[in-house]
Amino acid sequence: MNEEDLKRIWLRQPVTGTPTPGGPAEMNQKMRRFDRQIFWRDVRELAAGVLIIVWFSWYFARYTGALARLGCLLVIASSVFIDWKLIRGKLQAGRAAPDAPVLEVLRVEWRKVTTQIGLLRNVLWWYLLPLATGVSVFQFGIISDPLRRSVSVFVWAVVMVVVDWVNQYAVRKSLLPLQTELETLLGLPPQSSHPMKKNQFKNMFLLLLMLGALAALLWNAARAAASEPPPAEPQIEAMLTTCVDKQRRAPGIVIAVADKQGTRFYARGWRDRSSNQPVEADTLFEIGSITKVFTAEVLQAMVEKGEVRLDDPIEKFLPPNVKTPQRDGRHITLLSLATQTSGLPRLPDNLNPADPNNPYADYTVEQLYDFLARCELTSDIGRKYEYSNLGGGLLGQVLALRASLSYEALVVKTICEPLGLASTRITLTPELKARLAPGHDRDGERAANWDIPVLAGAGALRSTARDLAVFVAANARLADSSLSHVMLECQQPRESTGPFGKIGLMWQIDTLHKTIWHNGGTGGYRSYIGFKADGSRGVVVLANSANSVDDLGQYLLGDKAKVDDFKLTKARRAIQLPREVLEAYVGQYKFSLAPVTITATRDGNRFYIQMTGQERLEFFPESQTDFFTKVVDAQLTFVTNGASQATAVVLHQNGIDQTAKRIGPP
Amino acid sequence: MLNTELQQAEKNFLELVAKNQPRILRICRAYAWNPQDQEDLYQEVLLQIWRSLSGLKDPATASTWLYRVALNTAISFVRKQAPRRDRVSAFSHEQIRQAAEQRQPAEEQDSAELAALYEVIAKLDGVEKALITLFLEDLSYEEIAEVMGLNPGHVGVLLHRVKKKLSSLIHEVRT
Repeated sequence: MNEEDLKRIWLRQPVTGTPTPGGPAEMNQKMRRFDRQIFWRDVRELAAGVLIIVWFSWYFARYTGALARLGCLLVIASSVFIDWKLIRGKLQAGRAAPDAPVLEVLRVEWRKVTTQIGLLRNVLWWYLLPLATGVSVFQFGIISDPLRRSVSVFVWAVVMVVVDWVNQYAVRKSLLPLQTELETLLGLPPQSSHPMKKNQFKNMFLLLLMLGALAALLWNAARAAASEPPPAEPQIEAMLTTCVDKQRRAPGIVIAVADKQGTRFYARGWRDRSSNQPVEADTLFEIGSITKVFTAEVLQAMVEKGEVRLDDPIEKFLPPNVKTPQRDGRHITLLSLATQTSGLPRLPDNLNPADPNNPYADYTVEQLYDFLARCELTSDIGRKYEYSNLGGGLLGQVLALRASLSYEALVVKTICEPLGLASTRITLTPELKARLAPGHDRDGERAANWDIPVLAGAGALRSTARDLAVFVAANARLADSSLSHVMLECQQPRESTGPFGKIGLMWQIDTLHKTIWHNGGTGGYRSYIGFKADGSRGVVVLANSANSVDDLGQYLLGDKAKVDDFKLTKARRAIQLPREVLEAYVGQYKFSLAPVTITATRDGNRFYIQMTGQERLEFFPESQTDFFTKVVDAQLTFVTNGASQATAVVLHQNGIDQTAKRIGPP
Repeated sequence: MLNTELQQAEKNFLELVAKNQPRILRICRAYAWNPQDQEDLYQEVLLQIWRSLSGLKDPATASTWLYRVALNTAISFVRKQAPRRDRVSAFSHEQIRQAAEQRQPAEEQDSAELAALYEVIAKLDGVEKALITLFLEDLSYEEIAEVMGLNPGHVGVLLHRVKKKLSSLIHEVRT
């Protein structure tokens, strides 16, 4: 067959059944759909970068730490660079018109594919590494715990390896064959046939990075999980000297350590710096929230006596006219209160004490019931752990009603008498009162005692190291008691509280160190009680200051290699401000991103701040616009912008500045 | 676009398509095997013609312009369509022969020859296919050069090579 025959056959072939073209409207619609797809693909690629820039700009404004800010800048710079690179890549490749000569279109295609291959092959260097480095630096700026730092670095290393692998896979599976194909079509000598040669360096880098990150992770995890040998006597003495005399975190601290050898007490410092009465094993302290453990053990004891069941709803024991909150048809049970999963807030919103230095003293049963009637639960009952003083107090109240006793009488009957705890009470006899160490705020100034009549179950007890040593030894089964079974039941893990954390009946369980513990705090006291789950050791730490002693407890249990560094809060001196100045700051302020308001009120020359769900605190001016509080390490700066009323307030806490805008009068 | 301009564009488009429909369809057949793909490709070509209609300045060059659009669309259509690696091997001889025969009305005399022609065209790559199609479409070397973006002297060399390949393939199919 000659060429002319072929042409003839070709041109004469019948072309029947010809489809008709759509109308222009349809064509235009198709065209627009196509253009839209291209447009949104471009937008998606760039939007990720823009989003990251906005996000980290916000972090930059929010976090003041130098490292965190450096991290933000790195992330922002990387994103700008990435977007620039993507845009440049697109512009350079250009687009071939559909009516351009065939080979020209193929050449443009080839250029595009080759550019794309170059970008994806090196995605680690220009995309992943700068971003991950920035984010890691940022996280180092906001996280200080070495274990969490190394977890974050490890996660980023894994993300880099995976994303890089996915990209290399895409290059191998679709882009390289496409490039080769285009090269064949164009009759080019294949340029791309040295596929993965220079990646050796990268693979080595990624391998070392992964190994390094993994090693750091394992090392830090091992260090965190390692139980140090518990400190011996001289070390405990030295630690106490450091905490009391050098760090001055409390005027006096008393420690009890119980193990198979028996119980030993260590005490250092004074009931009050101006007096010469030393603290000792029989000195009384407010134990605050450790009370909740007593409440939980009372609950379990009543369960075992058949007086209540863990799944009883609270309304079973409350007066019939009391309305209680429900959620999805579920009722608040005794169990949900004891495991802090009732969905109740940390504190009721109608806690408006006349004296903020004794905030629970005038809270009435009527107020409690009124709040319950109005309250909306923030999460499903029994689902989410949320620590609540209200829940602990309500549990005590309900059990007391069931037993027809006061909460205090119920605790004394159920726990104190069987264990012989004669100095663990709420109401103090003159003899007990004589042994009570006065409380102190974080700066060492005298702080008032807290009276907690209605929410007693959350934190009203006062006790001594000697009594709590008996209590912790019984809980750790170092000593037999009639309550052994009750205590064991309370230690069973029931809900998760976070990574390495579970909760039993009020007992907190550290699953990493296998330690069962609770701490407590009131206006002028901090306390810690804990024991190893294997019953090898139990410790009690009591201090007459609002500075935390949790690290002392962890050190004594061997969960921590040494106690934390401690600096007294910057010595802040309160000044007097004229009432008009204070009045200008009175009002309600709202954070833009959190459902939290700050309410500022004035009473004569005193100035108070209350944040949603927290106690009202007295704040002291240290300048025309700056205020501080003695209870927690938090400061406020009011912004007036020359107006007669403040327009906003900045909260400084944990190294973060957050601005709340004024929304109206209190 | 103003309404009258739109109408004018529409008229041009429909005229152009009506006049060149057999050409477009033949190219679609050269590049796509089953009727569904041919239909999709045809619609795609029409869309691209509509899209770039404003680029057609001189109506005298309409046919070369049209071949460019159709071939560009067809080559990229094929690339998007099948899994890249085994595009050709995915079709057995038998399938290709069947497809080629089905396409032809039984009464057509040259049916067997045409089927054989399609069968060998299927074995060419996109550019070779474009060259041979343009040759079969009876374009001059100058016109082929214009469509492909080659210089006319080079067209002869390339086309010679492709034709040699084609005739050896035809020989293979026949025996």
